[in-house]
Amino acid sequence: MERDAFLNRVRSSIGEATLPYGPTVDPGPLVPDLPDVDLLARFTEAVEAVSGTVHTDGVTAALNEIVASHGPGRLIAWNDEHLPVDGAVGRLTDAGCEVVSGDVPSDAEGRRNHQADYLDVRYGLTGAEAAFAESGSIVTRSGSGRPRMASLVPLVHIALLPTDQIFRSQMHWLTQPESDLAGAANVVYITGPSRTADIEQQINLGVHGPRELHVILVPA
Amino acid sequence: MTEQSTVFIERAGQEVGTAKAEAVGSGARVLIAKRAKAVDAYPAMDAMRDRSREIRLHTLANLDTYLAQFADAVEALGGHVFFAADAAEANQYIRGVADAADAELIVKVKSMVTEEIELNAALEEDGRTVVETDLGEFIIQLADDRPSHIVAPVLHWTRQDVGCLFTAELGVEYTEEPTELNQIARTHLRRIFLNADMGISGVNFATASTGSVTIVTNEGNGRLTTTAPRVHIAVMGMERIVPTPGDLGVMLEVLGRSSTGQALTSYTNTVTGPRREGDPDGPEEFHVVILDNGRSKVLGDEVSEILACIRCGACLNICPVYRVVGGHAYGDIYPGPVGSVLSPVLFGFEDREQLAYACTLCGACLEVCPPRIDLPGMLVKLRNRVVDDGDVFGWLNPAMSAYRFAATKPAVWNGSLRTASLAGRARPGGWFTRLPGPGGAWTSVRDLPRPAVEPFRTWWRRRDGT
Repeated sequence: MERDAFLNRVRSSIGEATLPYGPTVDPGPLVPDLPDVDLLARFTEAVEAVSGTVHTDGVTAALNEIVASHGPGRLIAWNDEHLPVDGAVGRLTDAGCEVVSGDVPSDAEGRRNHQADYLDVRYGLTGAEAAFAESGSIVTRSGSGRPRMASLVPLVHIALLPTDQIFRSQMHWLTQPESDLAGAANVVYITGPSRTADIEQQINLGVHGPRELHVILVPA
Repeated sequence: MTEQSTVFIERAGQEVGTAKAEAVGSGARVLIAKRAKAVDAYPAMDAMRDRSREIRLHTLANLDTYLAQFADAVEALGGHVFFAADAAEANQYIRGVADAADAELIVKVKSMVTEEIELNAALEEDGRTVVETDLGEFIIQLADDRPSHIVAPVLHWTRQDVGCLFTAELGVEYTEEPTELNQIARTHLRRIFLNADMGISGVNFATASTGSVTIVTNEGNGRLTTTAPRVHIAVMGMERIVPTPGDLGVMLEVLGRSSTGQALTSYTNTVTGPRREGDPDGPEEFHVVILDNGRSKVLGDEVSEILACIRCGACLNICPVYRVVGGHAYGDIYPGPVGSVLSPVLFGFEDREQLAYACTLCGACLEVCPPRIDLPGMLVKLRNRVVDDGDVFGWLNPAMSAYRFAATKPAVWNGSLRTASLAGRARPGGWFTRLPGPGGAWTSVRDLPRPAVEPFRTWWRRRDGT
């Protein structure tokens, strides 16, 4: 249907509608009034409640611990320049991990061939530009050197989060101008590992995305 | 008097007490408890629900403006927008995109609107393979079944059912362990995701000012579907709009808590246009199909408020009727209180007249609905319409006339009470489960209390001495 005809039909229906009275201007966001808490403690508690892990013992110790428990494996990582500390990717390759390129060709054939290589990726290493204490979420943003697949296709997702980027809740982050939700092709709130409760409402982790989520705190 | 349609009652009669309906009931009770816990833990829930209502009502009253703004924003990003008047137009456009993209293998993320337009069948007609990737929808597709819940499609399945299905359809060794069943699905679908030519998603919310679409999932299939294939098509009902990212945030705060008791679902995936310059991955093509398919009719109806619905499923779980009859009794893809309002207006009243009566007017759905949609009020309006049309419960009209005649004439009224009390005296207490004549229509679906042995008026006079 033509756009104008479609919208005209909507317009004339609005004329007939018996909607309860709503505000004439967009009411906009609401920043919730939540009790004051220790942001780091609340965030850690919330991440653990959704089966994630928070590491506070430094990047090197955390990365060593994670690789020790799963063994060396293939890795998709964000470029070092987009991670809040230097040398994180090197730490994993030193531990025996092999880097898989996250640069996907644009043509159909090249794309398929490249992505066929993602089947057995074990680790994903990304930054996190913000976190929400109330829900235990982290925020990742796509862009140059920041493949989306790094937080999606591996079994274990490792995210490096600067401690001064923990906000009280989603609304506290979203209502400040830096949030710029539509400033990239893809912005994701990640709240714990991939899960399903489709079979008898019983929770299972790692159905399509990562089975483990490790948030490593980086002191600001 | 026209024949009354008993389609819902017949279906419900077949479903009640089955293992399937029992499974839906117990699943719904789990979801009620999860929601209650999440709402209790969030002191801002009431304020956020109020704001979500204001945002939805404001948006609906200005829907044409926001749709135009949204379409402009998507196009400015290099995306494509198609306005579809009905299911046929939507399916035709999507088939065209698939043709141009040479798409043989298509992955889908659970979407009620694509169920509504029967998109899979349309694509399969062209010889394409369409794979549902949400675990529940994957099971439904393998079994050629129908979803029983808008959020949890296989609420009516047991783990044993799933085990048998996977053995029969995927050739794996039988297991009923959910962790293993989950692993089987992961392995099977992983290769399909990475090879798919096209990904089709629904839309939880579309943001007008930015041209973004937001898709929430727990499994991550929403992200894979919108990341791995070269082409992404998002299909949305035209009412899915919110004005700005700030408004989107409000809706997200209430959606997860109301639906599955989560503060936010595992993945809240906001897509704004196709892959950008320098992006290492993501789809090259981005299409949005905006669907009317009867929604403008609903918007112009006395129940237009139903378009404020955000499809959380809380009204299904809390509904005492849904929990007993299950999702399939409703006959359409939208069951429960929201379906009872939406389906007749969207798809036509024929054979759906009884849906307005699939309700005890207990009001529980209004208590839990995030944007506080007056579902019970709208079901009463629909009952009025059904009675006015005279095509259902026609027996009620002569009965009500008789009542009016008796109730306005004291002598007749007292006489009828005495007659009724004689019936009560014959077998005191309990309920009539079957009445003759027009009363039979009542007792075919409900019991009627037997009249008291002594009418109240007689008792009052005797007690008071007046």
